[in-house]
Amino acid sequence: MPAGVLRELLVNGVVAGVGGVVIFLPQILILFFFLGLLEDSGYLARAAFLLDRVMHRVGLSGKSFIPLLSSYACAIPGIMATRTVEDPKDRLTTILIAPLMSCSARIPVYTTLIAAAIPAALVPIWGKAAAFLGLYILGTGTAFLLAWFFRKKMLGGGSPPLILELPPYRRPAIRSVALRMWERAIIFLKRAGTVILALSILLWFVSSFPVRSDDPTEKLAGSYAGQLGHLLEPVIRPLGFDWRIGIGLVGSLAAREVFVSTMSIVYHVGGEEAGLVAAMQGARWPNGESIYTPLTCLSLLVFYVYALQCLSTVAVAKRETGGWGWPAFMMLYMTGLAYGAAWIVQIVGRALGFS
Amino acid sequence: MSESWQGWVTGGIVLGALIYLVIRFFKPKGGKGSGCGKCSS
Repeated sequence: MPAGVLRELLVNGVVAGVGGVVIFLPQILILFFFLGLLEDSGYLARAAFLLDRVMHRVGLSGKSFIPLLSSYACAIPGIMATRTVEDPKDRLTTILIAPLMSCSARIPVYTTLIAAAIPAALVPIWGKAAAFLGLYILGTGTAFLLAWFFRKKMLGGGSPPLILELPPYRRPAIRSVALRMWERAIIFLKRAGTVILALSILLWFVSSFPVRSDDPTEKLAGSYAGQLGHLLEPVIRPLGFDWRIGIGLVGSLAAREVFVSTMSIVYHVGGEEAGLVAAMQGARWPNGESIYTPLTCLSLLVFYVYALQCLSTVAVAKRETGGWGWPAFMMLYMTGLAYGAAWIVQIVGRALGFS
Repeated sequence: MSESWQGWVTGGIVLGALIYLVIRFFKPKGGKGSGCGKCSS
């Protein structure tokens, strides 16, 4: 294809945007493989029963466990699974905390930022794995703390006792697990080919026009997205984020994984994770200091652990709670929590001597 | 010449993407099978 605006759209918008997300399919399938094994073995009902006492401590019952576990895959089936929770206050609390469970859409963001924050030469692979696990623990721990607050302090009242029918243990059928993984892969690819593709095209457009310079950095800075990023920079600067990260945050409001696509478009790299990580590690502030320091990456990771960057979750929460009030509350408290926690990470990190 | 047709096609694609997203996120929902499409439920 001759050089031109369409070729730029295909290379820097479609391939960088969609490719940047699709390469995470194997990691996401690994998650669904293990969730499928748990589900198929009949262990989930037992886990709900075992965790009933723990859940009671935060004011919920064991029935909330399965929706919360489903939310590690995606908050949408998790929120829909709360229909099995009979107590309305338990159900509402479970809906409010479900998006704090790290869903599969966060995997691309976590993986990219951990790779950018921790140089492969300095830390062995288990160090990165521990950081990854730590983010899951952070989300889950906070969810339980907030469940206690919402259920016991805000909504009040007791939780009914748990009555469950336990299915027999079964050897997981590989065919059934494989079928579930296949279904998930199709859903993920469909999402990449529709919503993420459309968002990538729009992000490419707003980060490429109007053209005010031939220099890639100045061109981005002068684009609509660059102008918006600069507008946001004073708000996100205390978190250690620059205007390009601001573009990523706005771009990923509809879906978290779009952060990776946006960054791939912003830094003009193809759909390769290694290329994006190298570009992020090479990014500098005007004074020459690195932008993606381990502290900033940690701030950004904490932001993504807590932020409700998923329009589909808001839509399904609206449907399940019967109005806009609770989804709006969810959006507000999660965004406030994300901003506050990322800011505290910066403050504490700097006080400890990190930059 | 090439730049001209590429510009038209690109404009169409960008507009199509915008219309798709507006319909996708703002279309009123309700009833069976009207989920977000993200999950198979």
